Amino acid sequence: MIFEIENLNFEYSSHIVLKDLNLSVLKGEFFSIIGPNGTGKSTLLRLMAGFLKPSRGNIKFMGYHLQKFNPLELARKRAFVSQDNFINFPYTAYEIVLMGRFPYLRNFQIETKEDHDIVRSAMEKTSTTHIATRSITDLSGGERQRVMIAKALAQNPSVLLLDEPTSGLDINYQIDIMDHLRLLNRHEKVTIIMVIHDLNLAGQYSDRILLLSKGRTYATGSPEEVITEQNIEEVFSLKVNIDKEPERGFPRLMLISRVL
Amino acid sequence: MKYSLFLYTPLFLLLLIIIILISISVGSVNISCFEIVDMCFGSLKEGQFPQSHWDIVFRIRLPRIFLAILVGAGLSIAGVAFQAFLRNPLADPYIVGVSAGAAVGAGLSFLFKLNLLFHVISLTPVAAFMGALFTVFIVYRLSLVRGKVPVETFLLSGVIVGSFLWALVSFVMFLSREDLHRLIFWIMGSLAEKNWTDVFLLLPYLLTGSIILWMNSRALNVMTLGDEASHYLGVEVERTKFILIIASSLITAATVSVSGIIGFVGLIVPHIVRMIFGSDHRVVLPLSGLVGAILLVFSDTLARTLLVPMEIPVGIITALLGAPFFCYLLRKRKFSFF
Ligand SMILES: Nc1ncnc2c1ncn2[C@@H]1O[C@H](COP(=O)(O)OP(=O)(O)OP(=O)(O)O)[C@@H](O)[C@H]1O
Ligand SMILES: [Mg+2]
Repeated sequence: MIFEIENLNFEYSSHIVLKDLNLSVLKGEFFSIIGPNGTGKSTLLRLMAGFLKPSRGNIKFMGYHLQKFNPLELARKRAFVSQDNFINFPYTAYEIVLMGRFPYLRNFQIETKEDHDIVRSAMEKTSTTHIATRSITDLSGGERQRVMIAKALAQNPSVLLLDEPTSGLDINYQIDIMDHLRLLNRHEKVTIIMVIHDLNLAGQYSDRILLLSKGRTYATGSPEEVITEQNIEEVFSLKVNIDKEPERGFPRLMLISRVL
Repeated sequence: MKYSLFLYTPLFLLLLIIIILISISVGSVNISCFEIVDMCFGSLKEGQFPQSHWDIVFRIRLPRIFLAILVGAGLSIAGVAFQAFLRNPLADPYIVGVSAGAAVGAGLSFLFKLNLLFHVISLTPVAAFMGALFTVFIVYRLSLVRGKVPVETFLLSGVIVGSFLWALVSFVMFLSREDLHRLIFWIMGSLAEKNWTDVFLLLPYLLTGSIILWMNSRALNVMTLGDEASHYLGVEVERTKFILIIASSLITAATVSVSGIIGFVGLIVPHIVRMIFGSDHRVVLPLSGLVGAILLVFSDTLARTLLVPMEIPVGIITALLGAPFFCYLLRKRKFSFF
């Protein structure tokens, strides 16, 4: 069990966001969190990453209370890819990815060959090798997103938390990144927990999905159990058509205009 | 990046030594470089050169040059740190009101004639130092919300406290009519009439502060990505920020208290170094120190030689030299900090 979350409540200065949330994520799972804007998906992810502290309830990470870990220990076990990643210092993409090695290095230790190898391999996996020497401030949104994913990979995490990792990417890179995450998940047993708005991707890649609605669990389970016409209509107040992808059987979703 | 440190440090050191030699030799009395080298290495026996030359070199010019090195290096290093952890290219060591606090302290010391206490020691530096540190303390406390100090809040309360204190300074000026020019000169910043005592007073603060900052330079790199991203990479964000604030404010407060407010160095040198060497703070911090030292020794030499026998406040020189040079670099190199 990677995460066990019991009765989690969270509020930002009296604005209640998460209510009585219970959740467990298994080791090696590909787990997705879906739900409308502002329901608390990013908040939940930040709580799981230990950046925010629960108002009530508790989060266990790898069997221990999350609070017991110090930031450095956490950084060697989990990495986080944020929803927005504005950087205004002109580091090269390579330098940014190299920062992923921060939790493994002492103050004055110079990065070893191994660190550089890890960085290079992380950049290969995210197809960012060709932009390694460019300044992070000059990159397009999608390129920057991939560099940030590479930085997270360079942390060698056993859990990877991602907040909408595909949001700025074209379809080619969406599948590229998702495939890499999937391979990482299957071959290196990295647990993947991601917030994602694209329900087709969520349905295709996830082992399990959590559907959040107004800070509460609306449904959890396999993609077929969660992504149903009824659930989606209820939570997003939008009519959709869902069928089965003929070859592999994951739910396939068609959005329908409200006016046409 | 790490190679640039080994490559350029000797180069800059050499440049610094050359500028120091020039600076020792020029002034109201010109002393040749060879004579200075001879004096230093003792190949000339006493009496082979005028005692007055010895005094000028070792009692007047050298302490002043060393002070310029320390102040220039200190302001630049503190500037690098402030820009990095505030994630703001406009930040300089004075951004959070340290200078205003020091000026209030200095102003009060003039007002109460503490500068002439016992006719020997001046309490002005002490008062300025206290004023500066007290200001940082207030600003830090003001921006502390539920155990965290968001950099935007810190920056904003620094600017507000600063402008409040500048109003106080004006009020002190208004009260202290006959001492007005002293305060104005103090605010303009100057390295004139300094001796070895000032150098040795400043040194421990500068060394401690700079070493602390350099030891945190990898964390400083990460902090430029933001508090949240730093946390995910394993930085104890609030603790590190506190240490960084203490170290860089200590450096700034110490320099301001001996030299007054010398603008522009702490703003411009970090940018120049980053433009040329990138943003790795393990490299940027020490090289900024060197470049800052070179810039200030050079400026101060101009300040005391251009209009002999008058002294131009060195802050005027740093701004007059620095701004055009910076604009030149800005146009020449594509630089995306902004
Ligand atoms: N720092 C903050 N302070 C106060 N309220 C916040 C803060 N961050 C988020 N909120 C509020 O908490 C609620 C949940 O925000 P959260 O970012 O978790 O939503 P989300 O599900 O990730 O939405 P999106 O799909 O738009 O990313 C929102 O109502 C938001 O306004
Ligand atoms: Mg979100």
